[in-house]
Amino acid sequence: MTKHTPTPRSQEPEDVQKRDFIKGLTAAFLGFITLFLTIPLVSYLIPSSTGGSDEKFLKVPNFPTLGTDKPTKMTTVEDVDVQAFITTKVVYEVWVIKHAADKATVYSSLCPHLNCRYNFDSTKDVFACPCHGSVFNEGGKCIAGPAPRPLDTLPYKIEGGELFVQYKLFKAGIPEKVEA
Amino acid sequence: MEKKPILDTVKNWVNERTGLITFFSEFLHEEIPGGTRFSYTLGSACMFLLTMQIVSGIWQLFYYVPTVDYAYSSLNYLRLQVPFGWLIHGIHYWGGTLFTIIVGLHCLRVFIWGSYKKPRELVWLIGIVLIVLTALFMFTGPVLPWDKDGFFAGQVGIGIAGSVPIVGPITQAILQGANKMGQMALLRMYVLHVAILPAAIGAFVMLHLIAFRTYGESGPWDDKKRKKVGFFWPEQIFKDVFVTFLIFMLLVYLSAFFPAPFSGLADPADTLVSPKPAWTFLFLYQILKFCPGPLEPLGTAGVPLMIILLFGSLPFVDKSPEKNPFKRGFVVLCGFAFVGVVLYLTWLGFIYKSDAEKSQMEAPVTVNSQQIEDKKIRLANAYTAMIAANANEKITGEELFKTLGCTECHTTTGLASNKQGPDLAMAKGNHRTHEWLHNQIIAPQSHNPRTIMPPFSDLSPQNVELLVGYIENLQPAATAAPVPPPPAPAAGGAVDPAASIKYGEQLFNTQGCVQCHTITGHPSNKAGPDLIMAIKKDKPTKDWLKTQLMTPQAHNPLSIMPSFASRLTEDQMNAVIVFLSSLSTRAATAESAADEKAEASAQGSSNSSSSASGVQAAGIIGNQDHGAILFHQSCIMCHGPHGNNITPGYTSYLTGDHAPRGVPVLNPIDRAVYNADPQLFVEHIDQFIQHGAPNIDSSGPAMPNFGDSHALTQAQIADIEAYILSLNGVDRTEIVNPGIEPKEFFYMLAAISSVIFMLAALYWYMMKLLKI
Repeated sequence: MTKHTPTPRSQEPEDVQKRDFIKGLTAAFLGFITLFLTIPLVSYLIPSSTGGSDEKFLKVPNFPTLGTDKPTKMTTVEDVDVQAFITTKVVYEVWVIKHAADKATVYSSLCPHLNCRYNFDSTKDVFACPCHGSVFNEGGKCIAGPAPRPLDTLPYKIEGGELFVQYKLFKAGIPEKVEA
Repeated sequence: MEKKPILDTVKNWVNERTGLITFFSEFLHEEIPGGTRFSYTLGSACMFLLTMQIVSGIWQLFYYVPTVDYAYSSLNYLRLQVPFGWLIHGIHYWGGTLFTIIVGLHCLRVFIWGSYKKPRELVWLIGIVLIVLTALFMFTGPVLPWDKDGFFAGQVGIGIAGSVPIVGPITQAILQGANKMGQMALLRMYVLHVAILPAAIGAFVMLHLIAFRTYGESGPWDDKKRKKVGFFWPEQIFKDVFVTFLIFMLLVYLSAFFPAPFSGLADPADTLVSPKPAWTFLFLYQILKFCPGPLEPLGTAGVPLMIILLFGSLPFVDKSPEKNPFKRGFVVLCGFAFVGVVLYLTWLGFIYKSDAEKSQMEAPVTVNSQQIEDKKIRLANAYTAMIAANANEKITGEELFKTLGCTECHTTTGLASNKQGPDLAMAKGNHRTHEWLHNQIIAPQSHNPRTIMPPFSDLSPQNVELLVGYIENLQPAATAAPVPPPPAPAAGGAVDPAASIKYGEQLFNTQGCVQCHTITGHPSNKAGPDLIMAIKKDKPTKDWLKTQLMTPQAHNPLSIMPSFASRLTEDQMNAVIVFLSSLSTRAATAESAADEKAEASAQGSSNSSSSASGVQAAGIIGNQDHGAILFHQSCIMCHGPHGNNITPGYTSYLTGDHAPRGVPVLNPIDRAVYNADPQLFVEHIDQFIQHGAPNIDSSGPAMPNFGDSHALTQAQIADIEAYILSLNGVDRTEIVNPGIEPKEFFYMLAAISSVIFMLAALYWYMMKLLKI
């Protein structure tokens, strides 16, 4: 670059004032553009809430033949998940303990600590989460580890001997059971 | 000078470690020979537009899916259902166009000022690279929506690249990625457009800027004018920002008022599209027409290459240091001649229409001009009659109907006619209320803005009442569907239950139920449930069935089932109910043809062969103009050219005995099928177009299954659906979730910026005032 002594700027109060005015106006226009770009860009990313979660009960097949008082991991029938323009088929995993033909406990398959999938340790009759070591008894109560609340039960109904479950997600890591 | 010491300390601390403050203050303290000018803002305007393209481009990637199945629907979801999606897409769509124009102006400005001359040759050369990159953006971008326009522009563009001698075939293979235009080509255009080209343009813009700032603005050609010195900050930046602000407002304005067209899903089977490149390439496309046969490589490769070479060599050929354009007459004239030719060729390309397009533009039905004249006279007479009728206190509804010209478009026989308007005895089945009919007569456009029915607003209120009364009391002269005779009562007045069931079944088969319902015991693809399955499952009472037949919406407000209250008599209704109840004991038919058909159609939808997509028509936003043409090819034989811009006097080529019987009117469509929500409306009519339907009138033609039989592709069905919606005043491309309504958003911005202007003017005025 050619070395060149910068031309000094006029320091007349009038010129300084004029320069400051122009600077202010420049900032105003830039601020205007920034503001009315940011509002659309941010709103664009916020998903529209479509009427909350649906209260659909999904059938969990093979309930009538399930043995009693033995926690079993089961999958629901296919459900559709509609996101924007794509519809996909999904199945959900739940833990089912059958007490009688018309009575059961259904747990979400996600650990309430940080949403890991937990297992059932049949030697000790406890649910154990492999991620952070939370342990729950069959009643869902946390007996060891960092989980802040018991296992999340899911609403269910038994009609004609068949089990139907309403699948829900809950916020992880907090002592209250709140739908996510 | 007392300044905030903490801020200075922080500044110094940062500057010692990064040099950023020194860099920016040097960057900002640029001296501009001859003072600041608005003509120097073009480069900054390009930078602003490039930034907008990058931001809006990245933002679109949050929703866009680059697959042939979902590209079009994902983009339309973004545009119609995502808050401000219309704006983000509009900014990108119009930003590309503005960028091209402003790059052109910028280049022209530099040319006129002679700013490409020593020592700025390389700045110019890098600029040429940037123009080529811009062209590549404009080539790859329009393919990404995978709509009709983009698909064919891409196909032809890649074909042109392939026809270049020697390097052509390999270029085409690389761009296309497969033996024909499809998923691989889409992905390659996508990767070029969102990754490779942005990286390249970013790098070359940096080079362009660094090289430019080394010698700075070249300034005016007149040495005297060069003595005056202007400054980049804040004077020139203020001008740049002001122009930037105007461009921003222009982008919002164009996005709000001139959204990009919805040209329909790309469909290789579509013969209606005459491929045209993006407007930036129209001049090359036009040149290609002058290079037939063996000269073609000259047009495809020679001319673009020559243009690039010509531009690139300019600073090395035109070496004189003279910058004054008036003393460089020859060069400047050549430059303007070039611009003139490009603009002229672009214009020619813009207005060019292929023969196929021209023939499509013409009305597909011929209209006899004498008939039009006759009709005008009859309509004028009808108007006189209307005035006379208002004075005549003894006139009846029927006389009004006959003298006012209603019979020009409507029949009252109860049979489908080939006239433009619906048969009014048939239309009674649509359960129009008294008020609705009243409004339809005095202001038909209030129900459907595109209807061709003239408003009878000059008719006196009593006469409108008379006319409504006449229409409401119409009895079909010949019943639309032959009703089977009721069974004779057995001795003692009691009806044999078996005969009643049989009568009900006959009614079921003839009175339209089979249009939506099957009685096989297996799921079907029709709009309504299979009734053996439904009745076995829910075991409805006779009262429930009666309500369902009389007012289906009482059970389900969203039901599309029409009411049969006025279509069936009390006895007929009871027979149908008895028949339906008897289904609870009927066995399902053996694994029947219906199942195979359902399975076949399910397979058909999963690997739809002819369409470029596995997406079903109801999920695609069609092109209503194409739909109009397709409608004229496939639908008017039965449905008639309703509601299209029909010139009065049109006569159908299907007349008399050949007139289609029992075909539903589409404009206005049955209220049970209509829905103001475009998506629900489309889903209703989609069933009929995909799977067909039997005619209510057994002697009339049945609706063919255009989708299942692949007679039309899903893209074509989507186009026809968009057209049928438009006939009923429903816009398929309505923005569902705009964030803020586009036009309101623009007005809001205009109002707020006016306030800024006014405050600035006021402030400036106050300063002047206080000084005096």
